Amino acid sequence: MISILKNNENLTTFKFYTSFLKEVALYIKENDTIDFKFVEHGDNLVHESSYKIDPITIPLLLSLIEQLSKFYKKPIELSLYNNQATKDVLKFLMSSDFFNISGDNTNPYFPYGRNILHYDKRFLGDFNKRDSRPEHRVRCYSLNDYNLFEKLKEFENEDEKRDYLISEYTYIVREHFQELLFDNINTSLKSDFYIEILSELITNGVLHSKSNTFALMFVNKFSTKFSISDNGIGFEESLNTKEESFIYKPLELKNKLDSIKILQVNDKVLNNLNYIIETLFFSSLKDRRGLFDLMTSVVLNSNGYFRLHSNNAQIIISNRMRDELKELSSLRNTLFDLHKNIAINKIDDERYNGEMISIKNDILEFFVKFYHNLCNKYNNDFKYSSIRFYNVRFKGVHIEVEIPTA
Amino acid sequence: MIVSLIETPEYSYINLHAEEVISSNYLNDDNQGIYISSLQFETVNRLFNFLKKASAQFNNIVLDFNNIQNVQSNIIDKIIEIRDLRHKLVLINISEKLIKPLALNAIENSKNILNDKGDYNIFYFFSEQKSDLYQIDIDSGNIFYYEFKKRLIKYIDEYKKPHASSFVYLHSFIDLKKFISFETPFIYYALYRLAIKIKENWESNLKDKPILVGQSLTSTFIVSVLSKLLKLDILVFDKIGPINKLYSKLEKHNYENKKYIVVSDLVCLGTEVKITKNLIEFSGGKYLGNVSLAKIETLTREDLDLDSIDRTISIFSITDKNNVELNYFIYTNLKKLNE
Repeated sequence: MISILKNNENLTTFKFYTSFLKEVALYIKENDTIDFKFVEHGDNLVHESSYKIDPITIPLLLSLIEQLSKFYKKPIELSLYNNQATKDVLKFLMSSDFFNISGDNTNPYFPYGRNILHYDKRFLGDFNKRDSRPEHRVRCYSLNDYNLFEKLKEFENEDEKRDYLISEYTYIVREHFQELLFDNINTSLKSDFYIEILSELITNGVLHSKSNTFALMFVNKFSTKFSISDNGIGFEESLNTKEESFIYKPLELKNKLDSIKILQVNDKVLNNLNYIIETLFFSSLKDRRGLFDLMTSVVLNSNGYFRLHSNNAQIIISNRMRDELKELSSLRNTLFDLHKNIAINKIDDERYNGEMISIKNDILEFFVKFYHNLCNKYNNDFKYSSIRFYNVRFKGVHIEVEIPTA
Repeated sequence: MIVSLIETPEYSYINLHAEEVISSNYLNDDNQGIYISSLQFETVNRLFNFLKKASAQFNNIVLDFNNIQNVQSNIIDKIIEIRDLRHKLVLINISEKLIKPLALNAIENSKNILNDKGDYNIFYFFSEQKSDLYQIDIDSGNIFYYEFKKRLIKYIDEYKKPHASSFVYLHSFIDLKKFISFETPFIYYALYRLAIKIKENWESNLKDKPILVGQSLTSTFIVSVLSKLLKLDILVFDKIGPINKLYSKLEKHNYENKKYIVVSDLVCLGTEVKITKNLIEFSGGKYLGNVSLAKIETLTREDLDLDSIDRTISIFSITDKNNVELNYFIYTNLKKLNE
């Protein structure tokens, strides 16, 4: 059995990717099955142990459990312990709806259970009286809810499907998280902005994964954090469906990146990183606002962090890249304005094509330069680098956004 | 259902904030009332589908962005499609924050002028320098007034012989109950405007969650919609009117330290409002004022030396300017003085 929470160790998303996933992979390799125990020491060393989980790890955990349960075609076994050492964290997980979502709950007063985890419900109770914020809940979003799957059939165009879903999720997310946002004076002023980020990310997740997307928003004195996790097809497969246009040639950037050999990393792993960069490149050329714009607005307008993980690679976009991002985003905005100019003024000739292709080439070059920098920095000091590689592949796209509140 | 659509000979007017309020509060479970400030794709898409199905008129479109501070990204793509359905598009009350998301800089037209606050009162979404639209004054208040008057006139019935109400004779009867029943969905737009007016008038008091008081069947309907839009509780007196009788005891409700806004369908001389005000104040509540769909201004503001608390806030007034047109008159039995 693998223990989810280790003694005296906070299960952060970093720990999740670096050690927890590795442990799970090794165990599966040896035993060809998986079951979890809630905490390292179980009912032993009750007074000496302390267990902690970073709330934004919960969506990742659910995502992993869902993948495993899909693979083994049954709910994954979890042994619970309710004692002095586990009480608080158990209660937090309980009130965050972790157990309702992962279990087999059908009571309509609580979130619908996805039946991916099997645990003994008798351990959930006898908590102390202190209540944690009831809004700090993990949510599960899926096209199967709210009749969205049917409603989407009204739209033929993929972009419109996306727009429609974002607007639906705006209403849902606002209902789910507004108290959390309105409570905090710093977040209440920007609540429209936060709600927009979250609904766009959830939409990306649901559309790509075609199934469940787990999301959590956590607000404290210092920052607002979101974590969104899905088990979808990931960037590689979704890029393969993109068609060539006069400015976007599929894999134009990626092929360039593939020829750059600065990093001593396994090709397969490096491939993931290159696909992430290609995705951002694709998004920066589009005639619509999307992932790239969301990322730059998080960093440039709100001094936030944007961490994007897919398969084996993660890229962390933060304030440290401010100057580079500024330059990139100004190129992007010039291109976007041209796109809008064409649409609004119904220009059907190709008078802007030359200009747009030249901006595209600038953006392309910029990404290559940016990539060089990233890799060199990684070689100098990988601990403080903006890219990270993990040996164990974790399917889907996992995004964390952190925005300081002050 | 598009509630705010008003057709004039020159254009079709739509208030996007009113439509967003309907989308979020009625079509989705997002209980924000009129406090919502972000326009979503669903609303614009609903409008697009409505206009597409509506008989293809060769008309211009006016979209009112009043009270909208944020738009979902990429919403401009749908707005362009709406423009392509009809003749020309005009946007009014554009906040400065919306200029970039709506990519308005892509349109070059010297007639589009920013006001002192950096907003556009009116934005012509086209570049042609010749258009009849430049001559027209587009004001949402006026558009609403003429539409309300046009619709109300159908519900004013003449009495066969003078009818007594509160010690005066009425020449005709304004059947607001019928107006409300038949004029859907327009009535929801009217009530939306009333809610906005209440919000603007009692901005600071609304934080204390005043209670909306209904005092007849029709006003109870109005109160129920306003309660959703303003997120306020309601209290119903059944019924205070020319024929009044109270059925249940008032002690059931605790009035102490609570604030009240009295809501009526039509305020004529204000007798019912005064009765209700007395009841509230006698029971220990604080009366903030009264609102109505329509009011009769028998005297002008200058004639009447009223405190602002005793003035009725309404979205339509019958005054000496329009009473003849509306076939409405109040008279008494007294002889005119020989002046």
